[in-house]
Amino acid sequence: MNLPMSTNHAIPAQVHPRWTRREALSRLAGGFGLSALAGMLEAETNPFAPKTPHFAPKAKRIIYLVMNGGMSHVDTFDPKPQLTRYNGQPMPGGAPKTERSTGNLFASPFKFSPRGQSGVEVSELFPRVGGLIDDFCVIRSMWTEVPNHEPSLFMFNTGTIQPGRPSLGSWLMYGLGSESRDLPGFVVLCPGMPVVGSPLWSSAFLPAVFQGTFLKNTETDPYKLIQNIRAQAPLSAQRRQLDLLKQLNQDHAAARPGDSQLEASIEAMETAFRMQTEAPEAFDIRKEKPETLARYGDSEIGRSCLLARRLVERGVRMVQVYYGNSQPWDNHEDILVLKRLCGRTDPAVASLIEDLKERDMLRDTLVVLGTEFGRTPAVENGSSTRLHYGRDHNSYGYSIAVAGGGIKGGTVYGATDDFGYRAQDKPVHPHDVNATLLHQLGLDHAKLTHRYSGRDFRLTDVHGTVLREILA
Amino acid sequence: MRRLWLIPVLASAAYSAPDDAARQVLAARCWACHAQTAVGGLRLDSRAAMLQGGPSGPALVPGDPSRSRLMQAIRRDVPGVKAMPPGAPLTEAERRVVEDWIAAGAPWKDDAAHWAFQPLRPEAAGFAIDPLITTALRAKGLPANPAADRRTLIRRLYFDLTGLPPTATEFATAFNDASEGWLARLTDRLLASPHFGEQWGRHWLDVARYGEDDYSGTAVIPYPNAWRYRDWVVSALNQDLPYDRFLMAQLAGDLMNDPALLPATGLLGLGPWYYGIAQPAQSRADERNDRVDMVTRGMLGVTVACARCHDHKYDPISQKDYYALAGVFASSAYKEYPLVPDAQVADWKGRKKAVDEAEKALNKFLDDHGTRLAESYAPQISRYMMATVDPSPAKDLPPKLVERWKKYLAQPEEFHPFLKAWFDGRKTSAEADAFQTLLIGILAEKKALDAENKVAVEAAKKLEPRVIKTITLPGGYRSEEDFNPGAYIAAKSLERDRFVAWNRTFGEASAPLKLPRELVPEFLDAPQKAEHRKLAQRLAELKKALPPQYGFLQGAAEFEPEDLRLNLRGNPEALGDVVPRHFPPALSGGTGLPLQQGSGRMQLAETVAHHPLAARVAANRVWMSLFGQGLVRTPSNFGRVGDRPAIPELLEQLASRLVTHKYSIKALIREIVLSDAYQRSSAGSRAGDAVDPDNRYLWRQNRRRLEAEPLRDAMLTVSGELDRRVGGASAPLTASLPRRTLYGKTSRFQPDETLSLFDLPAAAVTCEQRVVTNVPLQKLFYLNSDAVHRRAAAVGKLVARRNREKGIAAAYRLLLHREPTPREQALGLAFLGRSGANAWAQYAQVLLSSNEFAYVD
Repeated sequence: MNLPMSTNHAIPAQVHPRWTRREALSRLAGGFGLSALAGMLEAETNPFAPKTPHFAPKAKRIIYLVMNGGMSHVDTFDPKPQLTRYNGQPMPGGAPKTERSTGNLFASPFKFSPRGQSGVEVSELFPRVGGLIDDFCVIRSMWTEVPNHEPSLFMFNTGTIQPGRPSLGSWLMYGLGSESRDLPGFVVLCPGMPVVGSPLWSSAFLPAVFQGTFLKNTETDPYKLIQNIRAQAPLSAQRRQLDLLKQLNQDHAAARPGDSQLEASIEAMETAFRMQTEAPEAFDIRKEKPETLARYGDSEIGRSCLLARRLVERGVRMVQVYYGNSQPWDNHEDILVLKRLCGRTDPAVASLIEDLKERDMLRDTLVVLGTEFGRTPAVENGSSTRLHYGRDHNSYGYSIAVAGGGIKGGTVYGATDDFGYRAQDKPVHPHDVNATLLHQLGLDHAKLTHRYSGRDFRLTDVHGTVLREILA
Repeated sequence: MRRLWLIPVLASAAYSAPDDAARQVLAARCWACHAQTAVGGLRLDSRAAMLQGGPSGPALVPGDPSRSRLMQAIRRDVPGVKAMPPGAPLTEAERRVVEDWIAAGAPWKDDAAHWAFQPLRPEAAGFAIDPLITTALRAKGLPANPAADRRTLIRRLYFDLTGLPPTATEFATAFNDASEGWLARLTDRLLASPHFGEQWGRHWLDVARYGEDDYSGTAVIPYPNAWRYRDWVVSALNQDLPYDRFLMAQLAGDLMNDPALLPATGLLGLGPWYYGIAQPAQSRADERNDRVDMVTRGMLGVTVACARCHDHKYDPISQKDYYALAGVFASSAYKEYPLVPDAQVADWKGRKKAVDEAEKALNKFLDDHGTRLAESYAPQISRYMMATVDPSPAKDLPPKLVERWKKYLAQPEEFHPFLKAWFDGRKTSAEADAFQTLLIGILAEKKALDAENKVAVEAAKKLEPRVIKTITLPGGYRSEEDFNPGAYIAAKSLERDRFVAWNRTFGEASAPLKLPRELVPEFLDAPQKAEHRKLAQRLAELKKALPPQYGFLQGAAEFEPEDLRLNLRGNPEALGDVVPRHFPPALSGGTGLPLQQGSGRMQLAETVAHHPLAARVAANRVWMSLFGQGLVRTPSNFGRVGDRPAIPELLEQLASRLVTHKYSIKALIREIVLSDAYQRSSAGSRAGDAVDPDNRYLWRQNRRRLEAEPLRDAMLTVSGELDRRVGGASAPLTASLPRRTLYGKTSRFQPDETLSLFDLPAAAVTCEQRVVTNVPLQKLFYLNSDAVHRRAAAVGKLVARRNREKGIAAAYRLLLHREPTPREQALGLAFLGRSGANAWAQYAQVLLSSNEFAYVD
């Protein structure tokens, strides 16, 4: 009987529960080829083995770029003529409470103009991304619960505001496995460490191996990036060791028939051996042509985007990129800092999109240009004499942009109020975005559950609606 | 062994009654609207409510699915009956569950009848483990495996009881003990070993979500005294502290008049604390939630935290019950207990205060002079700027300052809103003079504004005196209702470009006239220099006289007793009625035992420690640690949707046994390991694999991979490097640390990569049970890690022999406690013959990486 409470995505459906693996293999051997048998063995023993999604996916992978600190939407993707018009005047009806004191409305110093065929308006801060806006859906009605970094970072990553739940990438590992046998399936890049740090890519109560592999890519040398990847002996010597090990392990397993763990362990060692040569190559952006490096820009975000592209080309399921150490986009004091931040992000993101298109990978790669929240349309003016040319946190309204992976490009979804304070038209919560991302990857967010301590947990908790309007 | 990514650990169909299945479907698909919220006046969460139904009549006609409106609604095939639920219809399987259940008369077991909520049945006369299992196996027609061989048993027992492999001598002693009762003697020896507490203490630390730091929202807060709690746990297990007292001490050790129990309150004092991760109300509510969760799941196997936002969907726990328990923790405080006499504490604090004050005085001196110097140099800005173009007329200017101006002007033009002409190439005195005049004006304006803001902010603070409740957390962190004090008061500032000009010349760290503290003294006159020396010297002397902080315990204490108000939908800002502190009625004979003395913690401790569920959960965890799987396979959930034991009487009797044997954990372990069930071989069998592949009926022992800690410890043991000292401060878990893994630093913020790789659970929440994974990154650790290479080198040295056959035999005895087979000899010889100078180390690395080393049969 298929009990609803036991629907668990990761059960290998092809194995009858009453059969042991050995029995299943022998009974099915007549009907399946050897590769099917190997696949079945793998599904049972390798937690990363690719798994069948709930329905046909539109996308196979995600590159999730995080402008950590809180990207101002009214200066980038959400033009507000009324904000310009009422510059310097109090917010009609008062401003919602944010972390600090804010003063009068503060027009964006940056110009917006219609871009692409679609004419979606983008700020001058993103000239090249603007040129590719026909590939993006700009969601202008994002909102989240708390105007502080940590809970909001937790929310879009793990679906709750405190530590202790699995991250989007871990859920993908759990639900889909990885297409790469030689690389980690979920990689997190940050030149430094974002606020909160590792709990943002934690697998929490999912098996620990589903957590993100964090690479502090201030280093470009791949051997400094991945733990234990440098062979400590000549490969020929290692091979000799592994040949011996394999024989000993096979003898050991033969005396203990039917234990798939022992066989999985033998297989894992062979994969590890291959990884030593294949992984460093994948992680080495120095292998790219100088022109390519230049196109992405000589910057941390440029190098991260380029590395992200190399990784997804090799089957990595999800690459999450944090722009920089701590929270560079937390522009409380001076919004003109965006010139520098966007100046570096724009070529990096544009080149990433161009390269994915050139490889015909954009159609099944979701690229998210995201952040934890937006910034206030009013100027921040709290307590001490600081520069009053910045914006406070704004969880009531913000923008993100999503491209590829079956998302309808050249579109705008939802809107904030006249000044950009609150999501007003078709409000979108990070749960909805996560539901949509999972949907594009062939997963029903309501069915991707894990039974933990008495209840089924989901990335989207008990919320989330797939944004069907933005699907191509 | 279970692979957790493949299975949801829950009651399988074989162990749940039809009403449970139906209840699960209703809970999953209907209760969001038709339970507590009763949309349309209809509730589907009790039989009575379903029989009563909603405005359109009864929802249920027992025995007749087609006439039951509930069935019609979900079948969606009767016109006029609204199709339910909105959205995705029930699956065919789900519909069948409901249909079968109604057809069977819609039995609905009273919540109170759930097996785990019953009083503990008394111990049966002459109870023994094996007859119960034998009866169950016979009924299933399952043959039990024979006992494992002695070598296997010795290894199993050593790893299970101490987490370490036997040394060669220990192994020989046990192996050669030809007398009757050798196993009982070995068991007693191991139970008396100090390493017993290390191994079993670590099991408990999983439940206790033991960590040695937390993240505050801006920084990691380390808990350098956390190990004192860990050591208490280890020693409590070594001393076989009765389990009821073990639990009570951890919840209320501060109230038990026994200083030896105080460290136990680290369970509460060591967090997790969420500091400023969210607004105070939210963070404090989340901390209480952690305590409720850890106590109820970890100790009682009841998922009370599920009732934080709504009544529990499966178990008889109301949302009120949740806040009634949370109130106990709201009425308790974090407290640090110094481990030295008061006088010493006062002395240290006095010295620390003196250091802080001297440091403050020195910094103020330097900052004041720095500001004064900056102002005095302002009228020379023009000269400095020109000196960067032509140094010759500026020989009198201090080169270090000229250097700072050079760096400043080397910044791109966008940094300099008022220097366009200069950057266009007009590097003239006139331009520099104009800039200097501008800056002097800005400096004056800034000073005036600062003064004005200071007055305004002070006034605003007085005008709006906030009633702030302060809660002190570790590290002196004060949590107040106001999240970011002062930031809500508006102030004035300069126009943007003028501020930028000020900031880049006088404000930010790299500003040419923001003299770093270490640079200031160079520009002071003689008397000022003398004063500086005096201040600096004083600080140095005081610092020297400040010893490291005394040890203290992070524990719990009583606070102002407070009954919490219900948080509507779990939102700490949306308050409902006050809920008096009490124990859930369904778990206390329907009475809702009040927890009102002080915080209620002592009453809670007594109730929890002597609760039948606590004994069942403990017995099950002990079983799990000895078999790799519990009798109930959801060890932290004994509720309605938890697993059911395949042999219910076995768990019941073991739990009773624990109680009657004065809560002795060691006695329980002894009883289990001396059973035939424990000693069986772990080999598969045709009949067993066919009928009971999951080994629910215990026809065999389970083969298990060593957990992260015993794996590392075993390598250190065989390499002869292990430092066997018990207890003490934690150290970074480096490749060269020879201590047991238990003594490595345990971070919540940044868990050790290698241990996580080998499935060490995250310490953020109480851990139900560990999972076992098998992935290539683990193998990279064997191939290339410093740790494995060091161990292999050491083992290589120990076994290397001129006579290779003897060396190979020595290696097998040392690592695997057996002689090599002829084939293994041949393989080893061939390998050693072809390998170079490092051959023995390479050979040792192979054996250390082998499955036989990592798995216990």
